Amino acid sequence: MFLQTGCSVQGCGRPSVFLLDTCLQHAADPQAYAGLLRSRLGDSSRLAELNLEGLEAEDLDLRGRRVRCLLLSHARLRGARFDGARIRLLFLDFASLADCSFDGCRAHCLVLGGAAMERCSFRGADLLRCNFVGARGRDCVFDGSDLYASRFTSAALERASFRDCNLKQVHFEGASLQEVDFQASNTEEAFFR
Amino acid sequence: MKFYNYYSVTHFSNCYLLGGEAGQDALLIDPGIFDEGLLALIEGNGWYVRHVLLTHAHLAHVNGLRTLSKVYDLQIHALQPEAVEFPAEALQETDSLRLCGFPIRVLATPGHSNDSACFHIGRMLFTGDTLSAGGIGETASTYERALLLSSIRSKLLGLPDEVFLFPGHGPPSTLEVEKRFNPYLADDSPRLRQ
Repeated sequence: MFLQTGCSVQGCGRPSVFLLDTCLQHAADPQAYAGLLRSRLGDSSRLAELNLEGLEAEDLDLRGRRVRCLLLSHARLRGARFDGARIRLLFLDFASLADCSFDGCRAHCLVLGGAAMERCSFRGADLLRCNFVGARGRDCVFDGSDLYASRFTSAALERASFRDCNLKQVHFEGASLQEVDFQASNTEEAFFR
Repeated sequence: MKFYNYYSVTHFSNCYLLGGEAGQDALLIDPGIFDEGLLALIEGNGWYVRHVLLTHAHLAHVNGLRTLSKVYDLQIHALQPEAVEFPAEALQETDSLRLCGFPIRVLATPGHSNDSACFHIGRMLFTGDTLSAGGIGETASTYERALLLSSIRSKLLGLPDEVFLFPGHGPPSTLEVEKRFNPYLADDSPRLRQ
């Protein structure tokens, strides 16, 4: 996946996405790609080493799946469900996420650096060593989650809830936190500076 | 190619494993630990660890070598082999290293330590303790801090935004995230003067 071949369109430096020999910008029918992907992935319980960079999809349902090495950088997802998924290395950097849910998922190394998150839910999730550097979040809920060693450096969070979370080794340096609730969380073990 | 990141619970460091088809040789980067979990990953894929790359020789990144070298007949590669407890090949800065079939670009990035190196493989950049998500490596003096930042600027920030960054500690990132949001890399950062 990280050594993948490039888009077949001459002069395009982007990598090709799963199932196509082009990137999504050069796909013959980018609108149909999400449907093609849904039919191809079906109910398979494991997703590994796929490049879906730039995917635009509504109601993507990956509940309970095992996800390893998945690239969704710069994706635009609305209503995506990752509830109960087991995630190891998922790149959602600079993605736009609206009304997405990660409730109860067990994630190691989820990368949301630079992402824009609106009304996203991470209730009761394990979010271990996850990257929220520079992420912008509005009305997001992390209640009951374990955020051990995750990083929110330079993030901008507005009306976020971190009630009863494990914040051990969590970095918030340089983050803008407006109306953020840390009730019953161990903020003394996080880094704010 | 298959790729795994493996977390050392003893040193809170990251080890990375790259391999191809079953039966082929595999490449390990920074084996800070070698335990049953990592062995199961290697053997489960039918791999044989032939080469180890070290970003630097601090314990958190080499502690697995003692056991690993008893299990596999492997070759260790480091920028300064004399800093490694075991026999190692000296790396040079190059664009043309090839191990286990992977083309590797070696970048010397002194600062956190004199022997610090980063490895650029495909779209992946393994940075050790040079650069991490929202942070940079610890340094012992202002001189080393300046040297580290100079290394990052001259060797890493010119790489494409789409490069995925895999550090020695903490979560993965991308170069675009670090260029835009890492407070240590901002030109007007007060942290630069610390």
